[in-house]
Amino acid sequence: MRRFVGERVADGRVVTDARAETDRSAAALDATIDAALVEEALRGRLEAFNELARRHQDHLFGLVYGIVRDRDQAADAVQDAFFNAYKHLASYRGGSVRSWLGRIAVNAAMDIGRARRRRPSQPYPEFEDDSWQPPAGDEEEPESRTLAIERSRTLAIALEALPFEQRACIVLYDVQGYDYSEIATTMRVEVGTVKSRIHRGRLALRSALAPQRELFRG
Amino acid sequence: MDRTAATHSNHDELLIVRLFGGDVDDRERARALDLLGECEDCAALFADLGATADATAALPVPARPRDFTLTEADAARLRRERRGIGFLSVLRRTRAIGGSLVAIGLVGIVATASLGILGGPAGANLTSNRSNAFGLSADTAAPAATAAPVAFGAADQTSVSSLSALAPVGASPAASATSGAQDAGAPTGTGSKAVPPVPASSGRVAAGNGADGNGAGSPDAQALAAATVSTGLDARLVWFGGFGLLFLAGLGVLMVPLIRRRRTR
Repeated sequence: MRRFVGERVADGRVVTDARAETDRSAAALDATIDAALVEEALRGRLEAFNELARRHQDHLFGLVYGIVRDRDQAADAVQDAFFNAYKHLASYRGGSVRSWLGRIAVNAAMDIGRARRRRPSQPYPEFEDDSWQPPAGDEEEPESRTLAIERSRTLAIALEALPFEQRACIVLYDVQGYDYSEIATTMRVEVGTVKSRIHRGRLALRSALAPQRELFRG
Repeated sequence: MDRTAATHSNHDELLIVRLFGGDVDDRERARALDLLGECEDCAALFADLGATADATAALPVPARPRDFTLTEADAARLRRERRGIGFLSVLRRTRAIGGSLVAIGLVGIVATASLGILGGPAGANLTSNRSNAFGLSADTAAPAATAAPVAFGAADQTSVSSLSALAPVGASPAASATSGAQDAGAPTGTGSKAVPPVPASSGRVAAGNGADGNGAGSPDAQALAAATVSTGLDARLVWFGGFGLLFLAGLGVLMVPLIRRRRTR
């Protein structure tokens, strides 16, 4: 069901455009470079590991932020993830370094989620802080921008209200593009559990957004 | 419109959500598509799911607040922790091993000491040694020796105390004495700490010498008794020392992590 970026269905067939082919080649090259960096890091070269961190830190921060929805906690989780990755570098068994780091980061995020459940904190400090605003998109009109901010705020609050596991699954599926089995592997649960969490999470999200439904109906 | 709204409550919303997530088989897909075609609310649900998913994917992510590369100090600390992880797994095992060694050693020491106090092999042989050394008669020496709960492995009729020590627990001195000649040299030791039986030849010599009823015993018998005594003492000492070593080794194993932790600090 999931299609790669640059793929489209035409006449019942998946058509891949030239740009998508280039993207795939770039991804393969990235994977090769990652594997080489891991090998160097295993030989004790810290600079190789730091290069790995530089290559993936933005992705991991986005991934974890989507789950924990708190900048500082996301930063802590990503830092922990890199610490853990360095500590357990020898346990890397090949495959995508990006996925391996993603799994470690999601685990760190889940640890934070559990800790937060025990000790609830102020949700969305970003929205309390006027200096932080979502980055402007293509729409330059103030009205569109205000609408986009309002939509983000409403959705973020609704997401925060979801149970942690449902939110994590939805973010991994919708934002990060993981498929069900990848999420199941990452979160160490059954595929059926992942599907159930996503489906029920979507329904809950829709109910939570019901009062402001017009914001999302364009 | 009203009809649709009324029937929507009976519709399977989860089926629509599953259709959206691509989690339906062919039959379910057909049913869900029918619902989308017939029910406006189901269609609205499907559209909302798409809009929400798109909005979720487009949620802004704030800029990364800092660089997550590792410093040399971080790396050194993590390398120590990495070694610590390996050590911890060993530690869990060493705790169990150390505890077991201490427990076995302690039980062994106590058991060996208790046997000695109750008149174990060494006690019995010490008595026999004394009786031989002071030339006590069989009748006078026997009662003392019968206190030995553990039978020992040598036979000497002239030294009834030794015979009594040979006899099983509960056997009378007389029975032990009379049966001693026939039993001489037989491996009668049944005690748990029994010294290996005296060879038959020695036993025969001892029995022969004992036939003259000389309480002091012949030089051969004395030598045998002395050997038996020293063997009994040695055995007890060996057991005691062995259990003591086990105990100390266990303590050592338990102490190692504490010493290492102090060094790490």
